[in-house]
Amino acid sequence: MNYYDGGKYDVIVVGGGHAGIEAALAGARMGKKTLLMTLNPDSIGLMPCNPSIGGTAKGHLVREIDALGGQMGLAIDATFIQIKMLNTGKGPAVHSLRAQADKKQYQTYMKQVLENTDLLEVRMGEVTDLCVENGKVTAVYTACGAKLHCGAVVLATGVYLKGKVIIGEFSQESGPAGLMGANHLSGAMTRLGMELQRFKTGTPARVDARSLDFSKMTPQYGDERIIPFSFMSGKIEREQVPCYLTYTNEKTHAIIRENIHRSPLFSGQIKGTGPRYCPSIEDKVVKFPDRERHQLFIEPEGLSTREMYVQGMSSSLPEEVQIAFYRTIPGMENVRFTRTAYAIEYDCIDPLQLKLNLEYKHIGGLFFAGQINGSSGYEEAGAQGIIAGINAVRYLQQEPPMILGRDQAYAGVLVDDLVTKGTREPYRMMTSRAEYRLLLRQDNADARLCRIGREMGLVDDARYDRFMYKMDAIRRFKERLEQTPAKAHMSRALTGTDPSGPQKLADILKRPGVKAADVLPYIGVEELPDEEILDSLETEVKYEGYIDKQVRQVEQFRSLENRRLPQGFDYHSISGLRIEARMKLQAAQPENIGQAARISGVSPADISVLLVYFEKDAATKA
Amino acid sequence: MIGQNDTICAQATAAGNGGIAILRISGPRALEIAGQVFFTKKQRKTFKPRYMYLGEVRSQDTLIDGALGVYFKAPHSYTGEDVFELHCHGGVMAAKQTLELLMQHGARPAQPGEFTKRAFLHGKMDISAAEAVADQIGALSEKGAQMAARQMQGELANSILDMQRTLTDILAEMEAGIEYPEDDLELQIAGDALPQLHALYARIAALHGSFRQGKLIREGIRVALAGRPNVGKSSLLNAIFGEDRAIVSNIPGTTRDVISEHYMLNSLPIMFLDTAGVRDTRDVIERIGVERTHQAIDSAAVVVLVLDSSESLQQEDEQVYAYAKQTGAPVLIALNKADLQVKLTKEQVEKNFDAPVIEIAALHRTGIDLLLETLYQMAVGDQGLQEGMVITNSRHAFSLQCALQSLQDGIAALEAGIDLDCASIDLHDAWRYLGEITGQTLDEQIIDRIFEKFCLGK
Repeated sequence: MNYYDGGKYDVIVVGGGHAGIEAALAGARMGKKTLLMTLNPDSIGLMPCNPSIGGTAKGHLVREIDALGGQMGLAIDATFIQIKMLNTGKGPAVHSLRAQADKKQYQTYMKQVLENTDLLEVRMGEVTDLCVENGKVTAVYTACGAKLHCGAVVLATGVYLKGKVIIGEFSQESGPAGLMGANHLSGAMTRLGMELQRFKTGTPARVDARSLDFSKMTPQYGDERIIPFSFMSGKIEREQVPCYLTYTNEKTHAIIRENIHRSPLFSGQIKGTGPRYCPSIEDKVVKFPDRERHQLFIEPEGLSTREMYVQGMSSSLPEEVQIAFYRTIPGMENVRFTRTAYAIEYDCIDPLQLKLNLEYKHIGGLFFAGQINGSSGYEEAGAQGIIAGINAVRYLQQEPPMILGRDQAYAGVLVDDLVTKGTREPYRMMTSRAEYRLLLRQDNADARLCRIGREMGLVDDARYDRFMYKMDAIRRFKERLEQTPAKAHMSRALTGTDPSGPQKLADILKRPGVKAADVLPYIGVEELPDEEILDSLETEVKYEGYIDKQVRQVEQFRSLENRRLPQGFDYHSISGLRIEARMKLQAAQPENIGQAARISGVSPADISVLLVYFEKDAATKA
Repeated sequence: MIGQNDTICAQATAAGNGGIAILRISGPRALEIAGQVFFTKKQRKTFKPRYMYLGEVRSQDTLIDGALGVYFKAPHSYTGEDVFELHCHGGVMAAKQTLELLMQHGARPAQPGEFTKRAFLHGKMDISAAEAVADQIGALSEKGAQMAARQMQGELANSILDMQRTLTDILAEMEAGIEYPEDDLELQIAGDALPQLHALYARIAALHGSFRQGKLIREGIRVALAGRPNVGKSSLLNAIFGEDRAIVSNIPGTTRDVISEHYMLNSLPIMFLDTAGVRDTRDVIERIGVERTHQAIDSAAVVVLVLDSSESLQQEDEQVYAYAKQTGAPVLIALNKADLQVKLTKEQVEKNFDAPVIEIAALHRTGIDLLLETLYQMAVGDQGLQEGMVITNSRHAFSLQCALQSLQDGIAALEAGIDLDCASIDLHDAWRYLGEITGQTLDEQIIDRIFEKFCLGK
């Protein structure tokens, strides 16, 4: 095929979902001429599954994207219709925000942001192939015959690669939500030597609110005190809409069991690996036969539609079976479907082929982000998107990559897990995956990442000034609390007891039930600062002992993480390594010794050998 | 959780009965840990680098050994880190006890080759040796891992795996509640995990306590029979074995050799070290016997001091007692010849010595059973011997010790009402320490368990 010259860009982002948006915005905002290629501009920022952003660990990711100067937090703050802080009873590390989004508004917001960003163009078209010269990507080809030249590419294709939608015995090649799939790019990727995997995910039915009896369900309301996602959003007051809780029952389960042979998962028609994190209802019924009920949340898809999302009822059973068991649910006896639940299979890459900057190991300038890397979730996608976008620019500028450590961000844990351990099912972020959970709180995402975002050129003056003000306020208050002696009358007023020995006000704040807002007046603070400052201050004082403990653990962790390893090294030349370790290290080419230690099949003994071996080089240089 | 810059300890000289055993502590806490076990006469807290100090290794008030201590300040040391060396007497027991004491204070037992590795990493060795050193360290640490793995077979391995699984379940439940706050998991909330955690703590503590027993089973209980010549040590031995094993006569100093005898007591081998009796003498042969007696006491797990009730207490008795106490071994007093005219009563002995006293008549074989039973208890400890479940590897013992500490912290945090995200830090640590023994250290396993156990997700 003869391609016409479609122009030249610095960065081309393939895909306009949550990863693509952040990648493209990062590219353009860092001063690079950026093109976002999408199959359909109407599906920019689409949420093809649940109408919500955030949740445990995912809420942390949104805050991190925001602290780096990304868009997701601002977008959801502008468009949420309900918001909640989860886990407030379980400690500050696991507090997580979750919001219900107005899907259409979210999309409209995101498209407008893209369209109003300098240096950024959005173009409809299917990217079918990549041009690689001298080990570097130099252009992409489109189905309509354009050759678009570029310095770097970010592939953020979501679940569109060879997408196949399955509903019972019916199946068709398609992207999600009835959108067109992309059937050529994965073939090109295979030709370029990439190893692909086939994953599966699914979504429940959407139903007509007019066909539901909400009086049989329990309404679930948002928080009265709204805490926004973005550090820039300030105070938000907004009317919120409820979700509704209801349950499956024995009748539901009986219908599913009677028809289980018609499930493509159990008949073997679906070959892709599905996530344990979002099992279909038939999965739940089969794996947990003793459960008498499973809970369902009915969530509005937006304010301008009557469509409702049925969280907990994802399925790939035939449509008629779905309708039958949906109708066993209290309040859904007369339910009308607007969209049938389906499973979707798609191609993604084995992320072990990526470096920590999300660049493909064997082609310079080719970056990957989002579900194509084997992750699931809008937030996981967005976090990878901003990292890939930043690193594409760093690559063009021949600057060292931005790599976030496991001790710095959930986004760091996410990328390290994917590229070091790989994944055999769609990867979901969880707080349990973070070793240093108490340091990676949602309240201090800005303290962890804002400076990095600033250095990358994504954090503007307004954001940075606000951040510096917050940090300064916390530091000043903390110092004064640590220096001011707690007098007897203060202790009695705050805790109801006399002070036990000489104490500072900080010690009083450490007691259970004592709030920062109650203590600050004793150091002469007349007007209380913003809630976010109070929250962070309180956490840092109250949990100081545990935070210190994790800081010490991080020091150990860093001692290995800071020892860099050469790239393209021949590990077979180190005779002290066990054979298995040589092979694993040769294939993985880890970037530092800490990462090498996390590769399965590399033992502590092998790490000792690496330490000694590479110390030789360091010593020679010094 | 083996770190690259934690503090490690090990015997730096060859194992066995050398003249002097050098114990090396290396790492940032070397001086601090040494300060907790090594005491000079002036109770000094600071040590001038590269000066040798005379002092004692003590565990609380119990003396373990007289020793010389030297501090090498980083980087001027063998490893390039802060190093403290303790030069102990060559006895196997004293060195081992000192090492265990160092571990209790937080020094990790060094991996094979680890001092050399650190020396290399701190530029203390020739760069040209890099590959050779890497090879050697690789081989040594692999060997160490294999040895530890071999010692972790069968029932013991299953038991520790089971402990880790119990903790996995508890953690999975806590984490499931955290990850899925809105799912109706019918979870036990954190408070209800406490009884399970307490039970787990007790199990690990019992196993950790078996470390001492493990050594007993492997090495037997070494019992030194001490006392002045002719108080009836050999007769006691004969009473135990029921036949004439040692030469018995009334000429003091007849028994010149330390005689080892094995006797099975409640399925534990007991090795009796009969001695020539402690008495200052110019007789060369007997003096050698006295030295050997001291050696026997040095290496004993329990010292049985035999006293003669037909004679009053003598200076030599007190010397033997003092010598035995000095070694740190528990002392049991056998007050012999209870059938003869009594000049020394049980009460008098108890007033003079801080040790249990058993009255016996060796020649008539009375009081022997009680003596043996008491001796067994002193060697084995209050909990008795737990069959089949003993820890023998010091690395395993150290990991268990760390797991216990973390578990204790976690339990304390939960009991104090500290939030789950903080308390779980300690519990995760405990889990990883157990994992150092079982080899299962991937947190992913806890996540796997969450999804096996609970029906979660949208």
